[in-house]
Amino acid sequence: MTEPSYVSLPYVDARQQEDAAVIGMWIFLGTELLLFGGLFTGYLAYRSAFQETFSEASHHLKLWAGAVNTGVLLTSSLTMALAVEAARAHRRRLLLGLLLATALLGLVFLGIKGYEYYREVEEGLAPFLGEFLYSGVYRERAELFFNMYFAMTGLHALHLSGGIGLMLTMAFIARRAPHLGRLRRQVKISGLYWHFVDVVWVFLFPLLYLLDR
Amino acid sequence: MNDHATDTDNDLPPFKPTGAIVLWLVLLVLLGITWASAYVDLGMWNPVVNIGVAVLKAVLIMWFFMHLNESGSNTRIMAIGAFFWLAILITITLTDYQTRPDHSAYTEASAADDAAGRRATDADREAVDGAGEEPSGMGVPLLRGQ
Repeated sequence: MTEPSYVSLPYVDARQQEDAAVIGMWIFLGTELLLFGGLFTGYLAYRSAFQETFSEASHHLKLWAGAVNTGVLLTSSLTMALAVEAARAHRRRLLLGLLLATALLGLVFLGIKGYEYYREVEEGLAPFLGEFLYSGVYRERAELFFNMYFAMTGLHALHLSGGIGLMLTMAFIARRAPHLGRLRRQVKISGLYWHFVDVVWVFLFPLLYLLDR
Repeated sequence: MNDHATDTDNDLPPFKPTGAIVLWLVLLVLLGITWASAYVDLGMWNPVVNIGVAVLKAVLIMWFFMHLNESGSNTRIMAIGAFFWLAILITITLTDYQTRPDHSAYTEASAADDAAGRRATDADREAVDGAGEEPSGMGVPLLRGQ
């Protein structure tokens, strides 16, 4: 299939250009993985050093919120995957709806996360915001757990916010783009980023919420 | 739904949502398994189930949603490489911390502090460390000699 109108100069055809873009995105995601990986590694090292503290502190997190949020993100991955399908089939209105649905599910995730943060601050579990009112046995080392919890989920939430911005941008472009063939590539690349943020959460959920339970 | 503003290609693939929806249902079942396992005491198998399910979910998402199933080998190498470097980082770091025999002075000091319900001060740590040969920076002394 030749699509001369939206193939850039160095590429032979659209397929080759899409492959190059996809590989570039995976390399970027690789660096992102190592950014999160540093936090994951630090967390695992402290966890193995202070096992009792961390499992005790982990029970202060709201399991229902973490689990529901995992479901929300998995569902957003579905709408994202369907958006790529819609772009492939050149179904513009469907694509627009699915992109907006993905962004909306991202906002739902941030809303639940925000409520969780609010409750934790209220309960005095945020060491960097006011007094640390943790009631467990290992008070000082529990601070470490909560600092890491806020750093890891905070970095993730930041990435998700970026993803929501990306979805809205894509939806804006999709409204007017003359060539849906080019848009198909852009939506696919954006989808890679969105799914990656989902994958990070898939690991954050058991490591933070399901420790020792 | 009838979209008018499409290109002129006649060989466009049809919109097929079935595969993605089936995968989504599988992912939700997996989430249900981990969530339910949190209320059952499986001993050492709890973390195995949790991490195992997470790995399975991640592989499914990357293989189907992130299109690795239809990607060329170059793309797959990028994906595998990213996780390979992460595995090196985690393995070597944990190898270090897991193989140090003696427990740190910090741990003892903080256990006493925790029992007394107060925070350890730098003076306490130096007293246990003996002379406090280096200034206590953020985080670093916590892991010394684990």
